[in-house]
Amino acid sequence: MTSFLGIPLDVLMVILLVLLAGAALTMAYVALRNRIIFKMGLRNVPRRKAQTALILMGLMLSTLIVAAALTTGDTVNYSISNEVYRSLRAVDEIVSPGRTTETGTVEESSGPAGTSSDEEIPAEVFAELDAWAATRDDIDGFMPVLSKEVTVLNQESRQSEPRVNLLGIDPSRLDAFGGLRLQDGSPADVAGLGPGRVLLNESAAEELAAEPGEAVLVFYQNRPVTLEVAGVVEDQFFSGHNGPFNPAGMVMALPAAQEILGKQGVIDFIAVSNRGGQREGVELTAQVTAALEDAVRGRDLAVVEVKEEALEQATTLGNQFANFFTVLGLFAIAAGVLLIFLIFTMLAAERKSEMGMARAVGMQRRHLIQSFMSEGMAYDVASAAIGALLGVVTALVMVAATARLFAGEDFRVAAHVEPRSVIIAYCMGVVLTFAIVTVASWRVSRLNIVRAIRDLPDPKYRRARLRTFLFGVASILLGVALAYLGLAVDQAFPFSLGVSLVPLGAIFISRYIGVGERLAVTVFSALLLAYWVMPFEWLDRITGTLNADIEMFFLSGIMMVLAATLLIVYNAQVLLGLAARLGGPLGGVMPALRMAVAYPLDSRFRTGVTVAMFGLIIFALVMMSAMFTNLSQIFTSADARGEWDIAVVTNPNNPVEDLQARLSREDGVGGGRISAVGSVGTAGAFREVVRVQGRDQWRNYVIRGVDDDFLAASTMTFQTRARGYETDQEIWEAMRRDPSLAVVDALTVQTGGFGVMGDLNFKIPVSVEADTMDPIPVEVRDPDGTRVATVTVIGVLTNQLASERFLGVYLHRDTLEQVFGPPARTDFFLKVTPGTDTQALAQAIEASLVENGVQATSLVEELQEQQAQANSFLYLIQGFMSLGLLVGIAALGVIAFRSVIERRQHIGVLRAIGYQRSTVGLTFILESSFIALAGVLAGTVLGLTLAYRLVTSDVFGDVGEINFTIPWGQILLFTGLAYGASLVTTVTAARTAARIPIAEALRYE
Amino acid sequence: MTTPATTPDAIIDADGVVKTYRTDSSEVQALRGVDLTVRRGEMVAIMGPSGCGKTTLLNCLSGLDDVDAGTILIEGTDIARLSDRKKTDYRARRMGFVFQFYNLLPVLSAVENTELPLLVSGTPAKEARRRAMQALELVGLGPWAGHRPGQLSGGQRQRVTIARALVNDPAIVWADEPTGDLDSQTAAEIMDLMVRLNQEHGLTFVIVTHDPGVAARTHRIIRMQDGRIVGEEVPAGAGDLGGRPAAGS
Repeated sequence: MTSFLGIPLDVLMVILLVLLAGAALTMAYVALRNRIIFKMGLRNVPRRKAQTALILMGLMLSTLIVAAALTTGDTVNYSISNEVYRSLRAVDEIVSPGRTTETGTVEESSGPAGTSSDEEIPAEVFAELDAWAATRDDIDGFMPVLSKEVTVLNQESRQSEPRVNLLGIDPSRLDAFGGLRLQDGSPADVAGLGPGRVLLNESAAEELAAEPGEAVLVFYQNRPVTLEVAGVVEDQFFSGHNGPFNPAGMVMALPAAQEILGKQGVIDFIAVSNRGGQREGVELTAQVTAALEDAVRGRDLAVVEVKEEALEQATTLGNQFANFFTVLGLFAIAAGVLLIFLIFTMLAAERKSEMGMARAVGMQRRHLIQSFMSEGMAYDVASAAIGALLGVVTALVMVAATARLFAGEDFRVAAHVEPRSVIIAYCMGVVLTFAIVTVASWRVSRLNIVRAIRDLPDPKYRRARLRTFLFGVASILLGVALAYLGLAVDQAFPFSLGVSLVPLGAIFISRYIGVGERLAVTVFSALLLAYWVMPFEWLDRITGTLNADIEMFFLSGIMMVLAATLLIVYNAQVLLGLAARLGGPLGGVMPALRMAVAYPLDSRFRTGVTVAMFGLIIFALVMMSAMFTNLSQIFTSADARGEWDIAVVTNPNNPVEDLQARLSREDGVGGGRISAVGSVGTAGAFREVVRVQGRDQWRNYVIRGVDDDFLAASTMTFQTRARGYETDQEIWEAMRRDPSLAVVDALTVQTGGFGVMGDLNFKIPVSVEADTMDPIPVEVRDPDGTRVATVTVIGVLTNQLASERFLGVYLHRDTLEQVFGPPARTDFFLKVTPGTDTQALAQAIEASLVENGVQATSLVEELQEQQAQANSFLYLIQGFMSLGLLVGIAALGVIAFRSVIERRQHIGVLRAIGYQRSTVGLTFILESSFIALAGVLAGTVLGLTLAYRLVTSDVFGDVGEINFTIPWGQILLFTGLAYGASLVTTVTAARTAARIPIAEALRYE
Repeated sequence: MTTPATTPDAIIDADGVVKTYRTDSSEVQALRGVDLTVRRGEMVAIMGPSGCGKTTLLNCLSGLDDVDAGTILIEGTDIARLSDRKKTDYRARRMGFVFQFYNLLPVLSAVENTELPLLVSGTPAKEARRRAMQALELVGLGPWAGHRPGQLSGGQRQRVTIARALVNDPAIVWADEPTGDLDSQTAAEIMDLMVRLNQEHGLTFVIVTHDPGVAARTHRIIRMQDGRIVGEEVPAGAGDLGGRPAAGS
């Protein structure tokens, strides 16, 4: 990992260390200059142990979240890097057919291993390069490799593997790459294999259930060859292991491989090892690559820095994971910040008399601040350490779970924590808390000595002071400036933040000019809320479409919850009236209920902050849950598979020309159940082959060619149609008639997003929300740039089809072949008659065409599996986000404990006038319930509102009619857990309150 | 000094009440065998130096605190033997309390504070509100019913406390330094009010006070020292109050 939220980690660490040192020096100054003040602060820590425990829990949350996010990044980065080293071993670069493109990227015709190409390297070219490499002292390994993807069948176990990477290598050069070992650790003898014998790697052996001595049938170009398994070797680069998604491989000596594949005199690529070991060699990559590029110039060969690129991808993925979890954790961090502020404000309130007394005997305001800072630092130093430790544990659990979900057990999670990450998390936790404690201390130190000593409430001024007015004006000016900036740069975040600041500023100004507090807050909070809940289309009409990304999720949550919280705490006295009306039915609960509502409403700041904490976290959880539920409905519907039922992916080295005819001859398949078959050819790899006409830059994208059968049977739907096409069917018909027409998938009109989806860089100038478009001329070319065709894009496929299986620019098959020649791969899509078991049929197709190595997939099952995987990931994310709930729960616990102390005398009075112990206890329970439920309810309603707005808008493209579904089960689960846990923390305080001796309580001051 | 438990119309009959406060290292005998009888409708003042046990006696007699020995009969019921629940219930229905520092709940308005004892004893909300308003009218605070304690003066707050003590139509009102936090004029007004309530409604008052002026307006003054009753007297003007004659030993 190199950066966190865009800031280089080294820079961030230095900044935080400087800030930490500043905080530490401040405290050292206090300790040395005002020892008694320092002691006062520290001695407050053990005064109330249960409360201290809750404070520590609340304070550590921010550190935990940051530590978890950073460690997740570290572990992902390190684990993938490990996989890279495990797989590539000493291989640093690959020389393969291809060339460097105009944008500086490499177009290789074959991947590092296993992918196929028609282009190969003649033996004499290798010999020349080998002679050159021998003169280089920065290259210590140079290996010719023939690599073809074959289909393998174990006739004894009847297990087959459609894609196995068969490698032919020069065994004499293997030692330079660290050799190859059998499963038992002994060196594998590739040279001594003898004819007709092959070594399987562990993954292939497992898939094929093959043992040494057994025979396997290898199909290449539909020709079977029988080979004997001589042994099982470790998974690594030279045994055909090509990463966790393409692990099965087999290896033999190069001449033998050339013979059985019919590839005498050619190889596919050259593997290069730089001087040094597996990890050190990569440092010479730039130097060796430059030399290699000079050496291959004019030969139509390209150099790929395989190891360095893979390591960079690992770093990028690590950064993405860390940032993703940080954004998700922002809600919890925000709740944590509120908690810290609340805790110290309450601690100050508890010690108001002491503080007044201290001021009376000559203590300065700064001494009070220093005392609180000392106490805060004591909590802080301990809680940040606990938080950092727990954050590391949390991250390791999350990464392990994620890896199991997405990469299976083949991906080995290597727990890794960079000391830098722990330092950053710890410093961030300490510095953040220190800053908040300082602000809170400054705020509470502004006290009236007499009122403080007598513990009298501060007077409420009807009219605010000039400072309030100026603050309001500044808010509005800043808001207007931000909104203007947002419009200027078409960004929703500054615009919406600016718009939100205006009503908030207006509250302060209204107070200054004498408008009642409740009226001002109610009106402007309602306006703020109205802005955030109004349909997107309304705003678009005023501002045009603004760009937005995941940060808007956070901003909308903060603003909606803020507005709702203000509305609740300033208007909840309505509840008192309601409670009074319900007096009859509520019977004995009424006295407790009255007190339970009255106290929170009297402490608006405290109540509001706690309601906001619960609201924020529940908002995030409900919103995520509702979005997943509804989007999963959209993306698992029949439209999400274009109404195709089965996809058949063929092995390019064992092609199937006419699938329908072939299947009709296969008895086991029952061709009658297949109602339509369409073929989709794909042109090579992901390359710079397409651009909107008139643009300079050629872009990467997948180019597909569909045949007439596909066009006739397709019912895939469009989110945007070109003018003149009234129905989706008209578009498919038009493509069938006119091969110069084309359609594209929805990723070509989307911006932003995570990971690879955000990097797909062929875009067309059409809004994701548009229903219609003008036809767009687009040029496609072959990778050599010798053949170029112009096609007209007349439709954008529905967003539901924006998946790896369906992404691409769709041409007519004839156009594809004119420009690109025969497709590198042809897949088939099948429709079946109603009632057909697609899973069984897919298995039957695979079994029948096992020699061709086809993979048939039931698309219904595939979508369901993807959904299950996505759901599991959702649960993981929700688990992480719900850490923030601990903050709200801790806050309620702190408030409850504090209330017992604060109201000791009141409790005595209540007991004296007839409140039973149980009624007093119930008062506390109901009070916590009121706060927790207000937050839970606000968060739920707002989360659902935002989810509804997003799902029913065109933000995700036009996905047709949507019945918005509320995931009640999940919502009830985590709101129930949150409420239940908050009650548990309150019960202890409630029991304490109920047991206070009356006479003692009445004496308490 | 002792009045037999069979004393006609005795509302409070305490016999040999002992109360000891214990800490880890010390033991303080707050009451050392107190015997006391108060008749229904009587207004009694308890006086004595600080720490003599006045408040402890009031707390024990009213059931706010437990006793270590002795019996306390309130309207013939041995309150010391009641469970906490029954004792609480009894307080809610038959007793009123007035404290020195008002002890109103700051988050509730005057009328809401006043109606609390009714609500807690199960009176319907509407009825509770009506009676609370009546009680506030009685103490002259009708127009201030919607104000919170923070918006009232010291005398007004104490009137609210008295209204709260009266609202459930109690047999006894316990008052611990009811004028201790008030200026002399306001204190006199509060005493006028309590005397009037005693005379017009026949309420029994037990008042702990340091103020001889307050004590002088009661029927009987009990003097305490070191946890014992050391004497009692009938104030000079007691006969003019129209109250019942002093009782006791």
